[in-house]
Amino acid sequence: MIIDVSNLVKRYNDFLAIDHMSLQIKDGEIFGLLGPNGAGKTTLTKTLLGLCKYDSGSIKLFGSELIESEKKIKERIGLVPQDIAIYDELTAIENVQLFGKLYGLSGSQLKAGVKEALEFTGLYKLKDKSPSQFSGGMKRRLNIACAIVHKPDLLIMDEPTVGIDPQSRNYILESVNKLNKQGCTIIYISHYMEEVAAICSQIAIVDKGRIIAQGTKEELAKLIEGDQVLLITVQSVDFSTIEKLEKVPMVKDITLNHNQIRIISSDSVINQVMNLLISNDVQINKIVTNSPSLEDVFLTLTGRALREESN
Amino acid sequence: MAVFANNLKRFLKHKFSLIFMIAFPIIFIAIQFSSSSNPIKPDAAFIDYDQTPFTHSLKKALQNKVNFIDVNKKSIQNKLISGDIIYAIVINKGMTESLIKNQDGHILTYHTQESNLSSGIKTFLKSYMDNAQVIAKSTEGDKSAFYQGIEKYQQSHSLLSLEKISTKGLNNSVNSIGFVIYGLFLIMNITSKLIIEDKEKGLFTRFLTTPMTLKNYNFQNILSYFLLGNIQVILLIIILRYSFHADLGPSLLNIYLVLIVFSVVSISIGTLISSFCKSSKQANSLSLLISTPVAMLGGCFWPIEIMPRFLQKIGDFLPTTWGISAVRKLIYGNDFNHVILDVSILLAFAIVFFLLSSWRRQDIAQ
Repeated sequence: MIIDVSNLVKRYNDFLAIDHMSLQIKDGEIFGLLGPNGAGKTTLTKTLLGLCKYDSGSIKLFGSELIESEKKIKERIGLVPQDIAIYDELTAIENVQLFGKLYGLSGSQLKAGVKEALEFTGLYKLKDKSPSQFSGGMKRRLNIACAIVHKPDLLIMDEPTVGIDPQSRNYILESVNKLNKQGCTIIYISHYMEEVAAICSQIAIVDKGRIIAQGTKEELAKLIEGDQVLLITVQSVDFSTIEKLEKVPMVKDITLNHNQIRIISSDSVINQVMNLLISNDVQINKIVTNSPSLEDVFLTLTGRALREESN
Repeated sequence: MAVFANNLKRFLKHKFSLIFMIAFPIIFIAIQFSSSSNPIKPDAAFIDYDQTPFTHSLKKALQNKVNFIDVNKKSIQNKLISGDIIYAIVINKGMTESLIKNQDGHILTYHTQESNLSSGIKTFLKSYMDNAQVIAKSTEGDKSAFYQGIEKYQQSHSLLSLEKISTKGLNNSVNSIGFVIYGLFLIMNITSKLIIEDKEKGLFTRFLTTPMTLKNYNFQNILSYFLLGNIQVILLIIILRYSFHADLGPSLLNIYLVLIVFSVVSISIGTLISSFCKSSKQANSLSLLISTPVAMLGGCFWPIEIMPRFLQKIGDFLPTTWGISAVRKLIYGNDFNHVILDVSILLAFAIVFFLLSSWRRQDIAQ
């Protein structure tokens, strides 16, 4: 196990941010962490990085207690923070060099590490440019380069693809897979379920400071096996109609996103739903039925939409 | 020392702040020196009951630097207290006679406090009378030989020595150092700005995820600002001494030490501001809001003595007051032992501010 968290508790005064959480991450995994805001993901990450103290439980990284060998452990971890944490007044190469030095690299080791990190992120040709001249996607890539310059054994990536173009996103996702193949274990925190579903070998859903589900994408989908998803696009709908829909037997969850109603049910409810909408004068534009996705699993387990909260 | 080296690179990118830190005091120093090229002569009293050629020549020598106004002996005290005169000299009848006979020939002087100007006159008088006594001793009561000796002495030394003890240079130096101290105070601006930028961009948190500790981060930051402060102090001392020919007292090293301690205080205030402010704009406004009034109340722009009593009392709680006080003492020729109290108070300010900011940052990190 590269990470072994046992019975972890972290309180902020009366607020229980992490509630007796246990988590094991194996060497070589891409571990996806999903959860709405305030679920405890950030606190968990900060605790793993030794940024905040915890009240009880234990954290072992690379087989050592975090409290006992914090410095040695940190040398083996890289963090890609959600905010782009680089200096605009330094060049790309100076930024990567700075982090290389902070992780204890020097001389030829530093030079090689910096070159490799910039080449890996496709920024080597732009190494002498200031990040202020970079696009959002290029800045995100530089953010990653700073985290991998010391070739970490564990890379924590917090929303690494927020606010970038699809091309840069694909580049980053491919890089994550490449890094993993090179032997780096990755914790991937994202609101984009399709990203998590595409690249993560293990996924944990965190809510209210606890891990409420964990497994592969397929294992998680099995949690709501047999459920059906109905996506109905309407002209407009009022809340009284939504309340009526919630009362339809076998309906497990309903979310309204603009003019799209998403209904998760344990059996086919299409006839009852159609009748109810027509009798309430709701004009239907489109109806789609789906098998449950990871997002549906999340919705069912937490009762909350993930993407909405990230924006 | 990655953060230290990185900060040095970042300083160079903040050219405007650097120029401001050096250029701002220099501009004011230049104005100070140019505006005081024709100093106003202060008023003094010269009451001469002796009326001899010797007393007349003494008065003439002093008139180069002070205006003598008519004052009777009884009103000397009131005139001194009200500030109408800064010094009073009373020569009793028979003083010259006693002096020539190599007896106790002395003059009476009155002044309120040891200001730079009064101490200048005092030094000149002492030197003049000491020399007159030596001449009287060597002429053994011969009046004409005594006056010849005095004439020769005046020709060779008098004006030169009076120029030497002129307080114009010292006044300018003290006032200039006030602007230098204000310039050093501006270092808090760049200190707080860079630390806040680290926080705003998430770099502070990111640094702490590396093997570097919070203590190490703080240490490297402070060390880089300390180096910047050193460069600023050395540059300003060189410019003051060698471009403006300011009289900075007998020891430039002592002036340097006091200014460096003051620079540390300024850095400590900058780190404190950075630990309380959430944005660089906020920090910038706060540091400007603090620096100017504190500089004014501490006597950076004018002598603290001209301010009302209650403002002077407030000044006692400000580092600028102690910085100016220490530098003034050194310029007037005191050695470092005389400024140990001032320097200790400055160091106490720095320790308190550093502790407060360190406590606050620890709190944020947790």
